[in-house]
Amino acid sequence: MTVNTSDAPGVPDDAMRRLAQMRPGQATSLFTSDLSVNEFLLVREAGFRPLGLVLGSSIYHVGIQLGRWSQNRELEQLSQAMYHARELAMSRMEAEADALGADGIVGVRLDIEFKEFGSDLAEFIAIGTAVLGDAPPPTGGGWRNNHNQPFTSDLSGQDFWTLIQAGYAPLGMTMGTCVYHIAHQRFWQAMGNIGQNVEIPQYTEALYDARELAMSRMQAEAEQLGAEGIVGVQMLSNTHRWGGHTTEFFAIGTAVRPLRPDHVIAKPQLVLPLTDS
Amino acid sequence: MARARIDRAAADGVRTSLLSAGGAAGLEVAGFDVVGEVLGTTVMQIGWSGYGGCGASFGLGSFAPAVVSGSSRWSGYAPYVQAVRQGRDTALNRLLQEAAALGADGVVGVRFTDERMDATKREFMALGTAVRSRGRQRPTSPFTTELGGQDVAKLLAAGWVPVGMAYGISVAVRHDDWRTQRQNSVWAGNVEITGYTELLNHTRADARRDFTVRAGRLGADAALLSGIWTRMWPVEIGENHTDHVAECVLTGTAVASFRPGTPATTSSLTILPLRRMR
Repeated sequence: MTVNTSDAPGVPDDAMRRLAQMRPGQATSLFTSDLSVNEFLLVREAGFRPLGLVLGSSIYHVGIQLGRWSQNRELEQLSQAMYHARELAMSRMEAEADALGADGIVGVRLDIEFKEFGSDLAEFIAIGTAVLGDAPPPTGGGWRNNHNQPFTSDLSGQDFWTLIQAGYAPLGMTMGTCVYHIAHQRFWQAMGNIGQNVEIPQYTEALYDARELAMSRMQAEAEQLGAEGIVGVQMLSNTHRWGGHTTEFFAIGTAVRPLRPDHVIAKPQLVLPLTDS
Repeated sequence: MARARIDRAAADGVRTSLLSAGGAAGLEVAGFDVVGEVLGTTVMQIGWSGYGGCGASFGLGSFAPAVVSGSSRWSGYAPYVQAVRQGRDTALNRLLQEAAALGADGVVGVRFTDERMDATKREFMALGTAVRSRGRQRPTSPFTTELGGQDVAKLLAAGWVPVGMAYGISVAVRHDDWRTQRQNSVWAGNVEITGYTELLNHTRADARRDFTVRAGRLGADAALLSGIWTRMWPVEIGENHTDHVAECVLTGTAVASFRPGTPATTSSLTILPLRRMR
């Protein structure tokens, strides 16, 4: 982003005048947002107005489900719990945005925080900034998705701007999860492998299988939204508090739809930044 | 001592600042001169948080709502919230006094810390860089912001001016009733603990409302959040009974638009930096 200062005379005089004319205590149409300054200005430039911070949360009891020691299998109950808790947080956030009359939610963060008190208690929380488009998309229709819900996107303000510039619009965050129990090696198998460099097929299979399940679930969600594709996919694996052999594989990304047939962006200029890192 | 430091800073030509090189360049572009670094601090003793039970009736079937600190002067944790407010406001006011003594128009890059020294004492500290506009117009009182020089420059160029730092705080307590206990038991399986969700939602909603009201009172048009901090902990109120308390603090900068209606003056260039990306 570049800021043009040459044709903005009077800064900071105009700004200071505004501060001098401030009427504290008067009702204003204030909005809150957790976007950074860069993101805030870019979202405005992309033609969206922030309406307010939206948030949804759910405290969930995520217990343990036992798997057979030597068997590779999905722990469906845990998968369902992890999915349901996130879904609750997301849908509550969407409900807040809907109440504000928003077109979408940008910069969504989806976090899990295990609590120190109580065993197996975790808070699932979704936070983002609800936005309203200044004008409907050039293709007609609205910015909302095909379920007439505000779109959601975990992309940063910068990525959101780039996406709109390139002629795409976000539809919704799509996710898939799979909690998997990876089998322990049998004694003789482990003994036989000592000192050898070999593939351990049952581990490979387990990891493949679990990721495959998580990704296909995410894909199914995107299909439901009628998306052209999913961008910014993250494939996370986290053992949370379950110990080494039980892992959650979680796929999350933003489903997008095209706004126009061509997706050409301006030819990039080359720059040599004078900052380090 | 602070007086002597400020007097000396106002008299001699030495300007201290906490800015990075980028931040200083940003302020230069925005039309501000650095006048010095300013500080405000206070230590509060918070001995009594005002918790006298969850206010719910016991017994089977009783359904306890969360009691937020803002609901009345006598509700749980209201004295605690009062003390924290006083600490934050005092630190920020002292910083503003120092800034005013230097003839500053604003304080940028304010770092605010809220540190527990021991079980009852807390230090609230605000540290920032005072700046003065090169123009003729002066605000009625200096603005404060957590944003650094670059961010302030970008905001000003886009027609927004920082007004002041705002915060929102709320503490709520909820009685652990039979429903919470049942959902939290080992036998419950994987379920949502609706009581705790409710407690956190109440606390956050109250803190957000408080934040919005305070930012609105400054006369701002928007508020950019810099942090949401939540904590939840158990308190033992009696034999075999534990309630849960949640605290939420929101911090941010309120900003006002001084060129309403005009389009953003930022323009985005498609560039490809000639350095290794990550």
